[in-house]
Amino acid sequence: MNGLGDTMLEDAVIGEDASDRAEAFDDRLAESSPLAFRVAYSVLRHRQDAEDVAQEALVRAYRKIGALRDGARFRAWLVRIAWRLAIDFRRSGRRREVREQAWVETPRAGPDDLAAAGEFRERLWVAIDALPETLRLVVVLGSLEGHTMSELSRLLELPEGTVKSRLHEARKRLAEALR
Amino acid sequence: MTASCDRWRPPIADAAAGEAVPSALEAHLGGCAACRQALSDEQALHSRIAAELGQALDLTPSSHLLPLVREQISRDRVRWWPLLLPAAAVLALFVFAVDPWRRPAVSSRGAASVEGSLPSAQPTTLPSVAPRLAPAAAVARRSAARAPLRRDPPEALEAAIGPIPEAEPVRPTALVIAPLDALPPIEPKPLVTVGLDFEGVDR
Repeated sequence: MNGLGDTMLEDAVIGEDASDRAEAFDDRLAESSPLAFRVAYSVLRHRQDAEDVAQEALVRAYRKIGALRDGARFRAWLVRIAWRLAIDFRRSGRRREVREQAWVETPRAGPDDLAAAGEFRERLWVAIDALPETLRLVVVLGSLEGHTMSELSRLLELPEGTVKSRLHEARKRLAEALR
Repeated sequence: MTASCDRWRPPIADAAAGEAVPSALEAHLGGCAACRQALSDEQALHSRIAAELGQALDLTPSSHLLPLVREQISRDRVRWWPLLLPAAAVLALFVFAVDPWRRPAVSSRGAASVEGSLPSAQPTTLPSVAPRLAPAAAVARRSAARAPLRRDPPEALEAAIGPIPEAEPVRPTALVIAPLDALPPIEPKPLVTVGLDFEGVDR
């Protein structure tokens, strides 16, 4: 999070030089695009929809990068943009009707196992969708890229204690729904 | 899990969700196989949820995403260029067609000298029209001719108000495109004033 990309972006943002900013942003693009895509996918669960939203989120981040004072907050900022755009996209009705089977089926599983696994996943997403937004974002980000509690805290710009309690609450509610 | 174990359900759920196991629960788990099983099941459920979610979200975007974003960003970067094109075209037209740095030699007043100093500005000569009366005299004559109660012919009116000046032919006009400081100064021309004396005119 505090790697070279962050430092460059931070310098560019502070310097407010448009060309530096664009260059620094380009460096961050490849690194940040999977995050934006996964966040969008967690809401939409459709690859093409998620890519559309991720593209829009990245372009919007580029256009409004001047409003970001602290370059170290770029990923947190991008997560919020992608999350908000994905939710708006889902509500707008542009979402594609056919949901995608995202999971790679394990070859060792038999038909019954596959059916049971499919049912479990369906129930899991229903339970996730039923969570309040604050809990949903925590649980999704907690499942992405193996984020630690401190990384989650930075991504969500919340105190670690708050993140921990929200994650705990989200997990409990999911378990209750799936028990 | 017996009915007496019900009170351990919440701490078991908390422990499975990641909270530290309280010592009281730990002591109970030591002697209750059912609660140990319940904790184990709960932990397995959480593990499965985490695994399913991790697998579901362990996706990479297609290779088209980055080029599309870069393309859109590069379009943003050059978006202001088209705004300069019309301005540049107007400026070029002004520089090459009018040549504002060249002072025109306006020695005598008239469009001819201006035209001579503007090589590419072509004057457009309007067709000359037939001579007509000066406006005031024409109005007076038309009014006299139209008025039904007026018995005096135009000549009588002319006799009453004095001679009506001769109509001046309209001079051919030239349309010249030139900078303002290259145009000849406009001389104010005296207006023709016609005084109407209605004494003796039957209204």
